[in-house]
Amino acid sequence: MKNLLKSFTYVALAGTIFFGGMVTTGCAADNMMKQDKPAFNDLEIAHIAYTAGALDIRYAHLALALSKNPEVLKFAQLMIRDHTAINNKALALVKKLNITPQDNAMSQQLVKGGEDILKEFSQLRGNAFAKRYAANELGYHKLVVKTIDETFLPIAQNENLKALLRGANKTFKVHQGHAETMNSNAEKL
Amino acid sequence: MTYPHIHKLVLVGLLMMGVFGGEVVAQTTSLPQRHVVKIQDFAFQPPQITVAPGDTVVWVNKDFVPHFVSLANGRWQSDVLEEDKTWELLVDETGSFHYVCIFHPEMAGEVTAHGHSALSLNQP
Ligand SMILES: [Cu+2]
Repeated sequence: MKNLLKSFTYVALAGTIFFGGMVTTGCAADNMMKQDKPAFNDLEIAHIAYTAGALDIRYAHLALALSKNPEVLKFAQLMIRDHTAINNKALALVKKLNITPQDNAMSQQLVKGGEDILKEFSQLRGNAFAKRYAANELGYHKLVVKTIDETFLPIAQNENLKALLRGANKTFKVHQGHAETMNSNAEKL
Repeated sequence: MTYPHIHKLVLVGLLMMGVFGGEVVAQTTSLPQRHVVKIQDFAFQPPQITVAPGDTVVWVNKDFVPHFVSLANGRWQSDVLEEDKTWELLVDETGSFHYVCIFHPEMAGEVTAHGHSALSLNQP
């Protein structure tokens, strides 16, 4: 139960990160209608998406180092493999379009929040780690999937970026499914 | 990674090319076919195919992330298939073969092979 609460804390935190910027300006769709300027430009979206992927890769490396739970290890390997493939694709697109993703407040908060989570993970071992990692991965993927679908895709301008986000989100939905299974198994530990 | 069927493949290939004589090739009733299975949106498309022994199945990955095709019992196994990479399997036996993606085990497909094997048809 404690782990569950912690995961909600993370989701709430990340929710603030993802949607906090929009509380003052209204939701993304309203934004489009009321204002000319969306909550994020394409360069910021690209930066946030890449940062989030890199963060999940860091969680996964720590899991490989600290956990002996076969399901956690398998999931972590999947995260490294898939998020690396997608982030490499994003880098290739950045190169092709000759653009520079823009650092922004949300990316910075993501990194900071992620570092807190990594610090917390590093104190845990055994089942405690598995439970915490699984709950975090579920919360993380739910949030990423929702943010891409509901916030980024409606405001992204560049067709290449949109295609990348759409394709990536198919993968993240699959990850969410795996995370749900891992989390429900971890809760039984 | 050498599997016994690879050697047979070479033999079948040689027979097809008429290396062992025109008469032998003439006995072959139908030419081997290539069947393409697309890996897209975390699914094998089509999920089920029917082939004849001697045919080749080609898997092509159209997803962003790598997949890894493997027969349920591990006898056939692709390499790690990154985006746009293909992997070919020459079917050298009859039967129904269930396969999965090792990375995403919810992805499953089936190859059903029946009919005469090209190899036995070509045997003098
Ligand atoms: Cu796969």
